[in-house]
Amino acid sequence: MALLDIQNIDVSYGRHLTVKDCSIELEQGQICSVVGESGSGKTTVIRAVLGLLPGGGEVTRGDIVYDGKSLLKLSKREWRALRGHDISMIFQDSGAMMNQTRLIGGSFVEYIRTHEGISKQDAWKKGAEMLSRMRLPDPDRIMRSYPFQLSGGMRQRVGIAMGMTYQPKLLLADEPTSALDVTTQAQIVRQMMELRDEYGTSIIIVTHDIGVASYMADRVVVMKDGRIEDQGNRDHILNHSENEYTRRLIAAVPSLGGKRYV
Amino acid sequence: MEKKSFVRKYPVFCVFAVLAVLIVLAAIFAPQLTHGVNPVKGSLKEAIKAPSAEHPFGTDKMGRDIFTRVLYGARTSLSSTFILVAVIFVIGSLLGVLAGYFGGWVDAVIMRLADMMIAFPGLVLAIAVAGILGASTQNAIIAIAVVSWPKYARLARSLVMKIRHTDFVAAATVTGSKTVYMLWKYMFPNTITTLVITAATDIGGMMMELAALSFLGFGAQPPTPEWGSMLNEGRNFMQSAPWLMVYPGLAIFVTVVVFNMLGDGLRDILDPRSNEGR
Amino acid sequence: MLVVLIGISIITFLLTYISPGDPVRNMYLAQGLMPDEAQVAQQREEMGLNDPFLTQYFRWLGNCLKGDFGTSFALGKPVVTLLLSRLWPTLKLALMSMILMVIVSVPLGVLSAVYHDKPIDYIVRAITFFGVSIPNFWVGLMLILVFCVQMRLLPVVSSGGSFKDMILPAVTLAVAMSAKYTRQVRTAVLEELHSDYVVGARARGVQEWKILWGNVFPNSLLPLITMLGLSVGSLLGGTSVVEVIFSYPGMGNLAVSAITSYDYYLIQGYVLWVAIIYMLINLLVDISYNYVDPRMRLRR
Repeated sequence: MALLDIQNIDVSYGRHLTVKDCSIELEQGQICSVVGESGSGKTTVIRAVLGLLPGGGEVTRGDIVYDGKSLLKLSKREWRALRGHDISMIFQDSGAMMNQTRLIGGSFVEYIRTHEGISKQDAWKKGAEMLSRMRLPDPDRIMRSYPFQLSGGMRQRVGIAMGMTYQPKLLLADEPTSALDVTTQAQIVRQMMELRDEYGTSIIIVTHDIGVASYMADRVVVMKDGRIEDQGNRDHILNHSENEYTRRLIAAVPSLGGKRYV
Repeated sequence: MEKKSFVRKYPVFCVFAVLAVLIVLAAIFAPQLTHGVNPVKGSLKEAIKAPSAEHPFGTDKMGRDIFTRVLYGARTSLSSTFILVAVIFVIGSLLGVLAGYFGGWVDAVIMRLADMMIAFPGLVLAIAVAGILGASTQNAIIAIAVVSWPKYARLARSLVMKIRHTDFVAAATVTGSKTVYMLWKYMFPNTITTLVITAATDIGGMMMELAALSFLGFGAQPPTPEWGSMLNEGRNFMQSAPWLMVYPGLAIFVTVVVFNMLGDGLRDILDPRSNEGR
Repeated sequence: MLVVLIGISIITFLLTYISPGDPVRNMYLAQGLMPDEAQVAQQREEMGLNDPFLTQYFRWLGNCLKGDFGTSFALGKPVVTLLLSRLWPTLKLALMSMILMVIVSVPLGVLSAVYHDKPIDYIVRAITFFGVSIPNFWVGLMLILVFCVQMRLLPVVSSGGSFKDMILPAVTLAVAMSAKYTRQVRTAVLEELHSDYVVGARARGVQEWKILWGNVFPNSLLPLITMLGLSVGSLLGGTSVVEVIFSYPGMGNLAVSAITSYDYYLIQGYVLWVAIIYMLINLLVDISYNYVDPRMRLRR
């Protein structure tokens, strides 16, 4: 059985339909890339999975089944237990997704204590441990920093470390590398792939960067104007797709640093 | 077609626009509406009468009809408020535009002056100025204008600063457009909307400040019918004749509500983005 | 800040100059006295009104800096003594109405922001709308009418400055300010609720109440403290009106009677003091802002 099964969903904001008839299936340990231009609805899809559609967005048709349960029927309490525990999300700038006026340690402790009833000291220790497990240098200093004091790459790695605290079965990544320079990008991409290898985490990565998408993914989903234009395994999409749009997207990829993933 | 869709699109604005016009008309046609009753002279035989069919709002200590005085009071309040808002609008925006456009010492002088005025709690200085100048409607207007113009000046200045360095202004300067032309052609239209919105939303507040000054005795003087000073007169008869206080106050309240709603409505029309309910 | 202080002092000093006619004559007339020319001339000389403007200004400023604000013409007492005796009641009143305001507007504003565009939000918005449209002196009068005249629960005249005397004046002041402040709380909280970190916290499964009270609310305090500082301005202005209505023995009440009797030194003293209090409070606000917001503290 698939870990996550998105079944023909429509997502609307008021009368405005942003995602139409979208289906994605994800196995345990699989990495799936969702690619498309900005505004193609790719972020909306993974936001819908976590029930975090901004202001007035709603899944109006279809179903999202995670681990055999429909996510759309969860109570608030069940949602909370799931978010950040079974399913984690990392963002384009994970640092910006933390309260800027609180220490990273503070947000981390708040997060940990949401999911287990442990003391603040223990939660702090656990957070620092998590950072060092993700091979971040000087975890204590990071815990005692404010988000805006770290570099973009560092913040992103902190975001991933946070997201991996409870070894979620599913990691949703929303443009995790777009705000970073190429070297840091490669670092983050590698780290995410290691997560899959070490913990068997399934990952959906949303990106407009076909290079990153094709490097990481087992499956690639191409979205355009709120619809799925094309999907298949990596090899199929990259080399044998019959879809006009997919081929154009791939042809538009510049070769990165002389090495072409595609 | 056009008209119908406007009403449908901004029903709140239209309702309050109609109400505002009604208030203004009531002020203008006060003599007709009150059948020529004199608002200033009354007969002492009629003094302190509770509201009745003959005197819907009652009478005051001089036997003057409160309903008549409230209607005539609208003349004083509305006209002085409109003059006040117009004055601070013109002076404030003009100084602000000049400061923003010329920069340098012009800017420094105007803005330092504005900073100084803003350093005072507004009403405190206004009371002092109005009081020392001598109690009259005109001086009350001057007093509030003195403390209120900096808001407009700052706003106009920041708006001008924003567009001063844009390409089209730079291009016009390069092609040798005259300063006055520049101010009129570019600075004025780009600041006017925001300033008008501010002025419209300020009407209610200004009306209350003027009324407060009159209430303290630093505005319109008796026997002129003015809501603030009517409240002040009525204060001494609180126990025996509460209607002296109720109706003028209600008049202020209703008028301020109408003009505040009108201002908010206007803001929503002219600048939909600033809508609070976003 | 020094510039502003100097500006405040100049404007305050100029107050005497805007007076139509001769200030000395005005003072006598306000006392109901008909001065003869010799008296006026002598008084002018005593007050130094015949000296050049700058001489007068610097003498006045120098005296003020020494703590000598002159002697009240009408009351025959030093202005400092008079103002000091009225300072505490006014501050007490301002503080109490401020506390009232915060107690009312913070919960309402937060509620309104959290239930944005729900019925409760509309109700709060309607209330605040009416709140900002009622002149505070009328609120005061109506409160007296209801609670003192009709129900006889409280004294009409707040002679002493006891707690009971302060209730109605404080409520009166709080009404308009609470309405304004509730709106500001609502806007500030609403803005914070739209921050990215709220989405982040939700994605981590953090409970809504923790997001609201642990993050959103403390963060929106930053702008709210500034607003609070600014509202002190309208508060200080408002006290003068409310003090008159309730015959409350504060600075504002003193000032209004000083103005009616053209008591220049007292007016100047009052305006100067209030402006300085206002400035100090906003200075405190700025400092606290720097302290509360780590972004301000750590970047320079």
